[in-house]
Amino acid sequence: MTSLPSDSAGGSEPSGNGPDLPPAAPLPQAEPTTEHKPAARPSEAKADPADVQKNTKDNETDLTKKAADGNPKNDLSDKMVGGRDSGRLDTSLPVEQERLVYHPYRPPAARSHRQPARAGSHFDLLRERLEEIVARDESEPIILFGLRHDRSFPSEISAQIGLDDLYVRADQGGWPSLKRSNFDDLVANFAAAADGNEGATFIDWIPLAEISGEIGRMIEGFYDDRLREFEARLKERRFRLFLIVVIDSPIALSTVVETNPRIRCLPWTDLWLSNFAGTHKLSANTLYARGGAKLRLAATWCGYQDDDYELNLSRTLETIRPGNVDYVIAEIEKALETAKTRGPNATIGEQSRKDLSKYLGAGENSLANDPVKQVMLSVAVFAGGTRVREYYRVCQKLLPDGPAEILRLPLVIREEIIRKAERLDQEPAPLPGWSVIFDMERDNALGELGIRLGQGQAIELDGKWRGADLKQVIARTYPGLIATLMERIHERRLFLLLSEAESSLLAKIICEIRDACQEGFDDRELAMALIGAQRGLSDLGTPHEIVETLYPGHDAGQVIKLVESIGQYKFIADSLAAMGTPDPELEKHLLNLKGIFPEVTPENFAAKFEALRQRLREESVRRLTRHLIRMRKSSNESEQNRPIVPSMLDIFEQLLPTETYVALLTYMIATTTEVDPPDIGKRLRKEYARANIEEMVDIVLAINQRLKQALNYQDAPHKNWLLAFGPDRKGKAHDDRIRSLAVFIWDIVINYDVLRSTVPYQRMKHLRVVPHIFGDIGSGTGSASDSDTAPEGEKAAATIATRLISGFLDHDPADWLRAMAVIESIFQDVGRFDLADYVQNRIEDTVWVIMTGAAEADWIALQNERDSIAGDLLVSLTASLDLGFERRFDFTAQKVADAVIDNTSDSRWLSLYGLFWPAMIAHWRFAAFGLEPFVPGLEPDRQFRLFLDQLVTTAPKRSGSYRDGFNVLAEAADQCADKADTMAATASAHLYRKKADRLRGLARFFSAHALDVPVVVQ
Amino acid sequence: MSAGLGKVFESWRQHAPAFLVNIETPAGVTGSGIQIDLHHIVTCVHVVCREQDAYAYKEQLGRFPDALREVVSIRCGRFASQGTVVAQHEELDLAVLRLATPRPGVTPPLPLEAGLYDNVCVVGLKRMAERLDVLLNPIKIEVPPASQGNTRTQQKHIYGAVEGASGGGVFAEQGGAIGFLGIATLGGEGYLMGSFIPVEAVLEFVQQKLGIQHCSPSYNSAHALLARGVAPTWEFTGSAPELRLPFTAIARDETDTTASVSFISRRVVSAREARLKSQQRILPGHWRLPAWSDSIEDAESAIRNLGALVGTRFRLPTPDELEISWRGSDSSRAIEGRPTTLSDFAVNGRGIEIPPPGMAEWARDRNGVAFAFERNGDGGALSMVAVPLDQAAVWQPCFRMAFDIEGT
Repeated sequence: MTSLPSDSAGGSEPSGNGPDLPPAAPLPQAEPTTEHKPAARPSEAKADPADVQKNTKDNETDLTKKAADGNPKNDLSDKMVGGRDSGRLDTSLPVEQERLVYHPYRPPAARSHRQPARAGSHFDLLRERLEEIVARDESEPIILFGLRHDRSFPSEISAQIGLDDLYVRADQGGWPSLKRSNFDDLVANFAAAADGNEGATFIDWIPLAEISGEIGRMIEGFYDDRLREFEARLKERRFRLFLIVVIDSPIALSTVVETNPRIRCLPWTDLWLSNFAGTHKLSANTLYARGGAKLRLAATWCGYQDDDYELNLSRTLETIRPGNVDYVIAEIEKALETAKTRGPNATIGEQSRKDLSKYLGAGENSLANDPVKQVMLSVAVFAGGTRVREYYRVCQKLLPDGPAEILRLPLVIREEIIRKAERLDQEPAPLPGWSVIFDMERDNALGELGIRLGQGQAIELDGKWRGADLKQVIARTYPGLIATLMERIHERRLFLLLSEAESSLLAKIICEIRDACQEGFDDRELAMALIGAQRGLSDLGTPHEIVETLYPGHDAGQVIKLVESIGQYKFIADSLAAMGTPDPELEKHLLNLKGIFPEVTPENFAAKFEALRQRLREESVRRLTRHLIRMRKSSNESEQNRPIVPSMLDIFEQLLPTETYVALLTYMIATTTEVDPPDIGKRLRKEYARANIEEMVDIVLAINQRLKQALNYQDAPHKNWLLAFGPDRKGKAHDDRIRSLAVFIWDIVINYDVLRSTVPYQRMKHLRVVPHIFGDIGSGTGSASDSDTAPEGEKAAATIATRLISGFLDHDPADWLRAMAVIESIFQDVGRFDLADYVQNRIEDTVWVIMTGAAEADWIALQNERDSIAGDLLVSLTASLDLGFERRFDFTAQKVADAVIDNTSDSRWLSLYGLFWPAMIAHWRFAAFGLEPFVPGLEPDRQFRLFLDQLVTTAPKRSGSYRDGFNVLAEAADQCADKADTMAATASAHLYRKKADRLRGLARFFSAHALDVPVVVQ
Repeated sequence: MSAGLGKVFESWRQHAPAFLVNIETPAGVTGSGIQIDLHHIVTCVHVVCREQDAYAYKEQLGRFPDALREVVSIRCGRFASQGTVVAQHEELDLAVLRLATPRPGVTPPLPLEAGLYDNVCVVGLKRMAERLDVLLNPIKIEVPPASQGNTRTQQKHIYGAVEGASGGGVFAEQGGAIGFLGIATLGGEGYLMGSFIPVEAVLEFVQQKLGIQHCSPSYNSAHALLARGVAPTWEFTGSAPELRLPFTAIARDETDTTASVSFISRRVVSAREARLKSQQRILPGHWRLPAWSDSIEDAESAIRNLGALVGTRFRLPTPDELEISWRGSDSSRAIEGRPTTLSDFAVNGRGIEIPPPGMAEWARDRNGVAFAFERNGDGGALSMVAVPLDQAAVWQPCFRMAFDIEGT
């Protein structure tokens, strides 16, 4: 239902000017108002403006007289104003009112004769409801009934209401006359009909879509003085008015009731069935017997929850065509089912479309100059279920710029503006913006716009909009509005300025719009809006303000000058010195300058600036990631066709600086499970592939830094790194830079789990990869907790175990090392990566795999002797590999590095580096399951066997080297046990011997699967 | 008292069963009685007659002294009223009193066939200054009942006579339940012997004299309440046509035998009932609508009127009682667009009808503070929300009745 326009005089004052006013002069032709004013019917169009007369106090007497004459239709031609051309009724103008004649109601005898017994039973529910309403509202002089019905008088209500002294209107087609009546007319007409008989009840009806004037205001719930006066006059004469509001448009009942809670809804299916039977000459009794009860039950309406079904049912029943009883019953059954499915996606009703057009601003009735309601409704449509606080905040931020409409401002502010404007000596103050109006009108606007507050003050659209998929309609009909909203979000950088809750709402709104617009939505505009969420140096203020932040307490201007001067003098001094003609004066001056602010130097000035820049970048990256993840969660339909994260990243790739883009990608991999790691990895590889050497270094450093940070956090999604990059790419390793990046990352992730300590296994809390290996195996898609939330891309990816087997364990150590050598070559100029250092670390890792996991009693003692034990173990390893008895790690590492860089070196040293592979298998096994042998048949045994089986299946050629490697490691473990014995650490010695046994067991396993081909190390 | 008394007897020590009353004549003679319905109490003639030694009188004249129309005081807990002797047995020491004020909610004890039971007690209510104490005297039945014609008239037992137990009940515990064996009389042979009138004779007497068919309703549930003499459900029927007011007994904690018990109406007062003694006309729809009231005083006035119609005194429920009676969830929904009818009230597990969401109900606590509670929780978990009293008129809360079962 819509409210009357505020400028409708018919809605605000009676058409009669009241008894004490002088007769008004005929008004000039009014602007036609369109709301609720149907086009004039031909009979109404006969009116001449000249005939317009004022409805004075004397009307009552005249009408009484006319009623006595018994000729109610004398003045039918006097209904129109505005002439033939206006084509519209204007209820704001006084007209000589067509008289309403009421006569006592007499039940139709013929009908009761036809249906003597069953007539009552068909309408028993209606009668009961009428009795209840009349009983409940017995003291009310006016009762409004709401009835879904076609545009005709529901005469059965008069029959069922069961009251004496009931009067009905004589001309049931004359509701247009009723709608133009005011309260004075009605009282006069009632008095004329009752003829002195007090206590009469008048029953009348009016279609909801046609309400206007005072009666319209009464139906719309405006309980004002006029209505109170009307009620008092009715009470005085003990008259009662039962007005049936016939709901003839597809509008939800809750909308009607919300508009005016005094409207009492009546059950309508029995009347519909009766009318249908009567119209199509069918047996009403049969129809009632076979379908009446079902219809009643189905159309039971208790509140807004029933709106959809009730409305759909009424609309569906209207489409039933006549036929025999069986056909009609079948159609009713079908309608009962169809109504269930014709939910909110049903076509938008005409009334809803009009309302939408009125508020969103398209069409003749639009209030496009009311941006408050425009923004409130459009946000509410896309942000249902949001708390009103955030809703208001977002709406306020989306209001247009510029001054608000002055006439809508509060009087005090208006007067202030005018007063200031009159003072010529002052600059005119800026006019208040729309937010002033918004703050003032927002609560009232909610009701008008059909927005209500549900539980927890969450906004939701009320029954007024039920049956309409407003999102789709707005997306298709108001693209300009959507573009405007997106522009405002972008230009005002709302993603940066709004709070978390509010920006979360904003993300939800945008995703809903994107879902509704589908391919029509401009992702670039959204990406621009998101980029606005970044905070840069320029956001911190002027350079002076930034310097003040960096050096608090100093004069920013002086600092800048000083830095510049020092730089210039230093450059000159250095140049002169290089030329062999140093200038002592200059150097002295330079020293003096440096002494002014000793803490300010060009170097730390740049470093501080860079640190600030990085901090801002990090904050921006975090904010962007949060927004993207929120949007991914809020996206529904469009996520299938056009996933939002990849789409945004595609655009970010073009718009963001490379370092920010890389930082964003690495942050996403490191922190969230909501992304598709292979996709992010692909994007990083793409950046890496097209970078020059300097950029490559930056990318590797950025990844390295982020990865190290991530590994420090227990709960970070470490699997992402292994899923995002693949070291098992085909092709020649040594010239494959992209693959070298993957190997570099994998190596860091894998070796992180080796602890440089003799701590017992049960104390190890830092493991990152181990927890995912054996839990995954056999489960298919990762651990149970992750698989539920993991995105599709991750689910599709291989398990971590499978990934490790194919990406790491199946690899030739020499090949792996060559990839690392590529990294060294990239860092050649920077010198921040040394291959020999790297190799030494891995050899040490191998030794630590044996040394770690000592007994609780003596692990600290062993830790204190770590260097000695490690040296002994290296001797054991090199001896086992026929590499001599070497105990210097740096020497062996250099030998290994030389072997891969220089083919002429002894390639046998590579086998020492290669021990890292079996060492990691052993470490995963010990860290996950301990040192005890497996009990056959139990879960740990099953998991580890599955892992080994998968390994020997995937990498059959590696079994031999694993066999040899485990044997070497077992020897070292024995050596470690002996060493522990000599240190009186018997408990640990016992554990080391167990470890040696397990290692030999592994060697036996691989021995059984080893192929009789030599493993050639190239 | 022996430690062998059963759980129910022990609970009676703390709370006298509701059917047990104390009787005191104007001459200061005290005894006990058993309430058998809304209006009547069975006791001994010698408790209510003016003759000091009724048994000596009987020995001399062959009958008990005439006690008809004697008026005595009846007390039980906070309940106090007067009783008039309306019937007297021709041979036995048995009389029936009619209460001046009906006492609803009391269920008479369940009769038990005569026999030799192990755990038997004479139970009476004795006035000790201003307090009423429960007398629990274990006895041992030794002599089978004597008979007059087909009716057993007296049964003897070893009895430690205690003043005030006459007219009280003799009860036996069997299988955790308590049965009513008869009315304790004082007469006997010697100091340690006593006798009681078996329940068969008592029932026959009340049936003949008062037309009461049976004075012991049989209930399948709520044993704890029954054992305390409290009827789990109660229904008033009034003089007005079709006036039936069903009640359910509720206790704050049903597992606690010492918790107080009161009765609350199973449904709210209907609009028709609220108008019965007023000048307002009754329309057909008022049968189906709950009564509504802008003020709690109006609600209480309507409740008083209804109480007058059924001869008892009702009050509004306390917030506690309302909370207990509303417990349980249902799938009812808020009603819009039409008056809420009684059929919109969902019935919970206790058989009590709960208002639909959005409707409010009046309550008044023991300190006289008024409350209006709105039923919250649409179609799910139910909750009560207190409505500000200055706004309660907008809700037009409905109301229901409650009454206390005095003496428990």
